[in-house]
Amino acid sequence: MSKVTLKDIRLREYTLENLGLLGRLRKDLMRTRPEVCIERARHTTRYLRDLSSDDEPMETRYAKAVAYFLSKKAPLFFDDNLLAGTTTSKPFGAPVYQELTGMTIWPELDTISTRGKNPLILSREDAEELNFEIFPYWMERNILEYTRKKHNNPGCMRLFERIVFFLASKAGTISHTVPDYRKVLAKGIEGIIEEAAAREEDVRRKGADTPDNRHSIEFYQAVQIVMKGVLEYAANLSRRAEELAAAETDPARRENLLRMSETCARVPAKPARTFREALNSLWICQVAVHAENINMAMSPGRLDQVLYDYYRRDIDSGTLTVGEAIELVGCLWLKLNDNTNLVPETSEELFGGAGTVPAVTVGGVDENGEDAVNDLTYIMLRVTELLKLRDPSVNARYHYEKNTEEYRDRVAEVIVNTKAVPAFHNDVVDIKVLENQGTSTEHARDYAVIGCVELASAGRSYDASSSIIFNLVSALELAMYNGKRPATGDEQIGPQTGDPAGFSTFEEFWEAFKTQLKWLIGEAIKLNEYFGRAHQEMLPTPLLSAFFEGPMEKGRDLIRGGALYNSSGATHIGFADTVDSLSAIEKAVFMDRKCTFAELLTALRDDFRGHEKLHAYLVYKTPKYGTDDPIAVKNSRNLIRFLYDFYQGHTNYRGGRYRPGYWTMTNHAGQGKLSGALPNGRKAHKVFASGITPASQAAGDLSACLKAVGGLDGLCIPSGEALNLKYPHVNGNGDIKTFAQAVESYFRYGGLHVQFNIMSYEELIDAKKNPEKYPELLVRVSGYSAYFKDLNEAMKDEIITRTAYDLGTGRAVPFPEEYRSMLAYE
Amino acid sequence: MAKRGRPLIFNIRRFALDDGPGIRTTVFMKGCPLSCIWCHNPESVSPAAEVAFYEDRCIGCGTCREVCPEGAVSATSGSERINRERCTACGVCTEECPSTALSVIGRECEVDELVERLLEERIFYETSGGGVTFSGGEPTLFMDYTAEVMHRLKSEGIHVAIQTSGMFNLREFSDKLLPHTDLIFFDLKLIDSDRHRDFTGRDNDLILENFRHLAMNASIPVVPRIPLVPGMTATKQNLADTAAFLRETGCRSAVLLPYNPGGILKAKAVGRSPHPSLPDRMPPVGEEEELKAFFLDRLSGRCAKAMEKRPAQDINPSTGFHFCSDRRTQGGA
Amino acid sequence: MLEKILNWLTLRPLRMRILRRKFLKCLESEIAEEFLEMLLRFMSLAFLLDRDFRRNIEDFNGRYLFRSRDNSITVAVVFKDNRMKVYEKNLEDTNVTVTFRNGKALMGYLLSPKPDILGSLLRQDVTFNGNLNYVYKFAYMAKRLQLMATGEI
Repeated sequence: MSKVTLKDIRLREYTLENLGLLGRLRKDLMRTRPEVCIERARHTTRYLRDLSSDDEPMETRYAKAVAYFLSKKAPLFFDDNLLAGTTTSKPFGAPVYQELTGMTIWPELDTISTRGKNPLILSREDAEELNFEIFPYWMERNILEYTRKKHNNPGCMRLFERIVFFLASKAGTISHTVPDYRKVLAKGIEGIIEEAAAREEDVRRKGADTPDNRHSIEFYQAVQIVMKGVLEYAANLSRRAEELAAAETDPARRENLLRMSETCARVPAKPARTFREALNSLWICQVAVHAENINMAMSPGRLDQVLYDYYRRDIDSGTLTVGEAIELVGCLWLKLNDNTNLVPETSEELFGGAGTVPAVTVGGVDENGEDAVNDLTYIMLRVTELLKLRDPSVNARYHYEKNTEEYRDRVAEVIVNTKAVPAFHNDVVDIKVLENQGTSTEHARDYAVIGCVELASAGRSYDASSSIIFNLVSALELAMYNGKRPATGDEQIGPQTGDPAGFSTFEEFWEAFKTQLKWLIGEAIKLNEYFGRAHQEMLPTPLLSAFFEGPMEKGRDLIRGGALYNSSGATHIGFADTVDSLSAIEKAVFMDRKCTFAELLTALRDDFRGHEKLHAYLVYKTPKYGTDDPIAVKNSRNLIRFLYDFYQGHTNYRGGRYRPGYWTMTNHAGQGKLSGALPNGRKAHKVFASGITPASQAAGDLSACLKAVGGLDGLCIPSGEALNLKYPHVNGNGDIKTFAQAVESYFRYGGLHVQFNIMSYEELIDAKKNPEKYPELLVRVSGYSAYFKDLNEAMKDEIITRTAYDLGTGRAVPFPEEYRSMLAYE
Repeated sequence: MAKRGRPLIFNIRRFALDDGPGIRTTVFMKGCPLSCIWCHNPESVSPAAEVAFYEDRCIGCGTCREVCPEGAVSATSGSERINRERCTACGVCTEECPSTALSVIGRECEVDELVERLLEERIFYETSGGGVTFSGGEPTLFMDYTAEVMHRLKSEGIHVAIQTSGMFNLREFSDKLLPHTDLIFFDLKLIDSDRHRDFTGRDNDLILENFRHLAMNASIPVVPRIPLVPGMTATKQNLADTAAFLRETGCRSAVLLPYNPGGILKAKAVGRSPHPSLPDRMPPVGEEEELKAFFLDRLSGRCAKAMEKRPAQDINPSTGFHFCSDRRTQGGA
Repeated sequence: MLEKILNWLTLRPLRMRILRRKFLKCLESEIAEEFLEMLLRFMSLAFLLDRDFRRNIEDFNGRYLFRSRDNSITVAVVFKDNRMKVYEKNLEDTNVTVTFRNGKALMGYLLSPKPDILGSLLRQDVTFNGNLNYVYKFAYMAKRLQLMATGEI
């Protein structure tokens, strides 16, 4: 039975104008410049350096460091938001995770406030504190150095440092996961502490003499320690709100402060009773999670399900109106935007512009496989539509057999109205994908999206889905140049798989490519395992573990495999360019014999200068992924299959399998800039296509594109895919219907995910030229949203040149002639 | 009138929204009994294969000249590039052209292969209430072939529509195609028979008679379509005549197709010179709107409101339609 | 020896001014082959003269090797006992080895206000082997020195 009772699911009567608070807070947020916040670095360093000893087991020592920070964390109220708690000590802050990659900003301490791209304000005092007090302590201790020393500067780490092969972002610690906030809402932190204490007692009774039991005891202690830190922070918030209320003259503001004070006196310590308490409890826990873990894609999950009972109860009892619920949800959305990543200039240049990508998931089916869409789903969609914010990254699950067409079309409408969000996920296949990975059907149905597009059974599965970011083109180049790459010169990087000029069949080249892939992926996995084990030793995560199903039951920290399900994710850059290059080699060299391999390599080395005819042939006449061409179809499926089999054969340090995915954030732009010309006709230093999206302008036919991508075996893509589509315009209800039908067709063909930008080439080109005209232009990158102005130039070009399809004809819109030089093959 | 054997297919356009309800695939067949001077698919008129030259894609490599076995390709630009007298449309140059500046228009396609390709799109049809539309050229020209493809699709439960010039043998049409058709788009160009002959090369008696019969007797919707060609069909006289004719047949709705000058470029690509009096741009929106309003007024006051919307999503084949199309191309690539 | 030191001490402010001018000139020049030498000389003098700047190397032990890719330049820099020492020789057991394409490339990496990061990576202007945190610290000090020289701090 449908849980939808709203008369108008579009909630048109609620607007930013009549929801004055949200409009005001949004305006403030857009104006606020990001600042570096050193509070966490200061307190955790002080505790670990001055107030504890190396002799203590890391599990409890680290828990104490986090608890120490939480107890010292300033209780701040920057604005009139209805929810108490801030991620950092700044209205819009970038916390420093010095034990991870935070020290990469060291060279910029004097200049980060004024740098060209996405500056972060840092005061002179704070910079000095980082330089003199904090960073020196970590020079030999951050995870990279710990790992390097332990493994004697291993080759895999040196490959990682070259940037152009793969990134092992495990260095960004535990991240990219979906905690389970249901438990803390229902039991309260005190309930969790009691549970940990009781379980500790149980293990003690069994005896502390085995290493496993010893760890369990330490783990349960750590949970109690760190949870008390959360309680202290909430108590400080409550106290501070009361003080501020006493001094406040504005009655509305005073009232809100008093309510926050009451709320924080109650939650998260105790079970939430109301919708407001549930939201604030959840938010404080989200803040607390970031006291321990880096702010990368820590995703709150299925909020329309997690919060529904609280909402329903308050609505039914008349203590909450729909308007108030919208306002509260809006406040949470704004709160989720209160922090950003600390990114050094190099990374901005190559990969920048991302938010922290806390993914919220709505809709789909429930654990019993029935329609889960409820009033809160529509409230969250309306809030997303009104606020048009970078974060949270909102994901709409759609089950074409269970969800209504009304819901489907409403999601499409919100995408059209925001021009970008939410992303669409295919429930039918997603659930099968997780089942195929060993997740129980019930748990698979309760999946939420992590960060960009990855899937996890919410609060049960620890997937570290962004562990490896692998550049497929680098392996392709290693195969083309016998183990070398133009980007790394004469150095022999990979195994010598032979000069392809001597190959007589495409299969020989395919084998060489697979050999390079296996070797390079092997190196990436090796490094990820090193980092994972380093984490287990130096950065336990008792706080996050308490918000998961599994660790409490098993008495084992999340990082040691405590979750119910485990995996590590590897995502791949340059999929379309690699597939098209393989097909081009197959067709040009081995089928049509248009050129020899040696001639092809010469043309690539010359970046096609003087090889115009061959270049045109490669661009226009070789098979392209995203069309019906059987060679392209074959090569795309073979590559997906090969990678799946290879990764699944590897087990990680937590006992889970490696899962491949295809989403690229901004890496395809940066990596493209670092790569030479390719056999598919893409010229040197041009961007790669994003995610699992066909190369720009290569797939001229929308339906063929949807079929080709949808036709890839979803079961082989367990870490998710990002298909980026662009429509120049969507006019009226008729077009929205077509829009939604196209999405559903793609899902029925088997596609996992699709996201959109509703922008024309011309508008985007104008936005690049005149950023001041588009200060809030929201775009989908490859799995997350960003403000267009924040992106680096390469990434802007990639979004501009992405194929735009005319929804009325299903054909690619011709790229404006005068800007053709932006195209990857021009 | 109808031809035996297999027609050449010159385009299979997927994701077609303006050729009937839902998301459709439209099959364009080569060969047409009429030769309307405004034809926006001029490459569809001749039933034989032709080579098209798209100059904007040419990189000037000269390969076509080297490989042509007939010596039919010269270095000149534009429609002079291919000597149409010599060209046998063998396709060698199109194979070798690296930049797709040359391509063969029209390809034979076995019934099995065509049906298979059309069924690959099935999910789009099912999700959107779409189907397959046969267009051209004139799809009734190869009645047997079309009938077999339609029959195969119908037995798979696919919705089938046809776009016709109305120039066919009614009995053969009723026997072979009508049983497999769910929807007919019937072109009515000009009511005045002299003008019809002048602009299309044929009399319109048969067309009007066929329309009258189908509109009054067929159990499926028959939707008249009127192309608005400035100064030719888009005259108040012709629209008034058409409205009167439609009222006479009991037809209360029609599709007005806005003028699309895209045919001019396509005509050049296959070496035809477009008629000099054809405008090379779309007429001002206001002009067409005025004509539409005039037409609607004449046809029926009730239609005025419905005519404002784009139709594809809103039509309901079971109850008849009131719509007009927008400015989108109605033809092939 | 003593005389040498005395001479050095009395002439320090002057030398500092001269060095500063040379350093700035080097930053502006297109060739910048002597960049590393200039930087290190200026840096060690700054450590001697500027108490605040010296704080950077208090209790800091670090062993760096800077090497040009063609091996024409090999410079070791050792921070120990609150001092900076520079040797024109190879050094074993470093915290980090910095290999650079040429002086300009190294300068671009350390000091350019608008670093061509992509270009630098593409040309492999500077590569590292070892503990990158030591590079970050050195880069911070070099940047600070530049800001001091240009009067921005």
